Amino acid sequence: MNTEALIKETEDDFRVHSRIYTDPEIFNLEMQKLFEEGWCYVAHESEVPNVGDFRTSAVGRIPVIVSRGDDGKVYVNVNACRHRGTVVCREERGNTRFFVCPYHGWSYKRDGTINNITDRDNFPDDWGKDIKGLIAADHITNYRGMIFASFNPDVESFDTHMGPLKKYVDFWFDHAVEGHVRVLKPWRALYQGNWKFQLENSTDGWHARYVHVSALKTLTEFGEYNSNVGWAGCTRGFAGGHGILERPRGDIPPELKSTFDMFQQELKSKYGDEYGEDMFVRRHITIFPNIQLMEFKLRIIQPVAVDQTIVYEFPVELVGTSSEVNESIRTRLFKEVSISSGSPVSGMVNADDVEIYARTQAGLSGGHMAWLRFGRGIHREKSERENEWSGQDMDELPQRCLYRKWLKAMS
Amino acid sequence: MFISKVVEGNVMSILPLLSRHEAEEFLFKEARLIDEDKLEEWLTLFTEDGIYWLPYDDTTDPHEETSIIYDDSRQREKRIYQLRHKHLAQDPPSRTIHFISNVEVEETETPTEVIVLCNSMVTEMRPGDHQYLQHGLSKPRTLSGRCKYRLHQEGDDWKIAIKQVDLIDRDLPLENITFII
Repeated sequence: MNTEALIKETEDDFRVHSRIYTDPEIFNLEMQKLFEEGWCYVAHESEVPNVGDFRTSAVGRIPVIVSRGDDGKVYVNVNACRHRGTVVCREERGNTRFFVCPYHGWSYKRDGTINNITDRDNFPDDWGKDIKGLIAADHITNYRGMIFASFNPDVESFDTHMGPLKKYVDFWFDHAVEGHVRVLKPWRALYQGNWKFQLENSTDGWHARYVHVSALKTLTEFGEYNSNVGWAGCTRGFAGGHGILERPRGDIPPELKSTFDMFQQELKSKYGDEYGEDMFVRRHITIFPNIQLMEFKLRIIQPVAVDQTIVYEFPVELVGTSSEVNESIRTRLFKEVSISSGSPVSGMVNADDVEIYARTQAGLSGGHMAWLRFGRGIHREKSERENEWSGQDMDELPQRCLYRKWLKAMS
Repeated sequence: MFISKVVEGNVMSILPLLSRHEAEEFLFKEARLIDEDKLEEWLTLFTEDGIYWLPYDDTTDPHEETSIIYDDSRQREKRIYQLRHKHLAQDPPSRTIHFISNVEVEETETPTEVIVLCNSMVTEMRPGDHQYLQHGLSKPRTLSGRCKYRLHQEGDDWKIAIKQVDLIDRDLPLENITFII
């Protein structure tokens, strides 16, 4: 497939072909090249804190089990019995000594290695000696509690993949006194559109004043809209396909103000004023291809089909941070004081985004609207350091960086 | 709605605080208000600190863990306000039909409160896409759940202290629920 013809960049324009949102063949290739053979987020380590804990997940189209072995390490294995391919574990999460296939009783240890092939007497002596266990991911990396896996023995190093994004990801995790988070139970949403709409949208600073006009109006009516946020900030894009939307934090709602002041003061005394200031900026961070660090929640994008996507949102607890601060964060998230929060299924904000995704998917039917345009701010992209660019807060820069990486990885 | 009468000087409970028939009348009225888009009136069915709750797991504390919906009165007001002001996901708004069945009334230790259990099936659809271009639009969808109401007696009226709906598919990824269940 000639994927190069699907992205057209000139000096003053950037076009993406609609086929990449509608063609099942391209979807399959994306799952292979971007998810399975790239670095795909599979789970957070706080979901499997104890030996024997497991959680089922996916790397692109591949069902996987993320589990903690007897040695305390995290393993990622294909969730399919080596005998005839039956899914061995269907529970979403739990704790177990063995994973036992329901079909013919083959069993696997916590780390995925083979425990028992049943009816051994009925096989030739050496039969099955090549079966060491479930098929393991070729590479696993844990970055600040986020577990990434790759089914590509030659995948580029995770460091190279992250590049200069690392600094911002560190900002995000440094909000926790102990430097890491615990994820709570997720919200789970399903929408009828391509997975990349969600990826593009979280760093799109332009749409909010249109798509979220009813949310803004409601918050204003109820005296909860923080007009000091304004429309400032910036966008950032990275060679790895990652992106950031940055907004000033603005005023904190009065009932949370003293807690947040205390929170920021704690961070400043720990990291110094400058770092404490930089890290406290509000950021939506996309780590290509399937995880977004939002306001105190992890958003995981799980493509189902070319026109169907699951989004999980895990609120986080900042480990080591005072319970008062964590409680405020929960209040913001669970009661929607903040505009960027709340249940994605029934909240004030995300429900309108997914309406747009489905509506865009509809507009692309028939394929005659061939080229989607991502030109905003293309004439003023700046680069202060290698592999990182910045633009104005509503520029379509993160999206361009995403598709430059897409093109590179898909070719 | 009466409970007791005096028999030879002793107060005896002879009727439930709220009969099944009365509970049904209450639930049918609520369903009608939602289905007829009288949502401002629907708001008045709740007590001041009433809660409208669609849990993922009703054994967890909704202040500590996520819920599909956990609305206090302010949240409910915001929800209805947004519905009335070009909420994209509700433009055009959903049409709903609520079916209520299997109603049971349980008394509580509080003399002014009862628990009402029922099953609810909600058929929902958003019109407006006559060409069937957008997935999920112009297509009826069914949500089913087991409901648990805690009703509180205020004067002659009963008000909802908690409306809890356990959807059968609550622990799966769900499409937008931007209408009232």
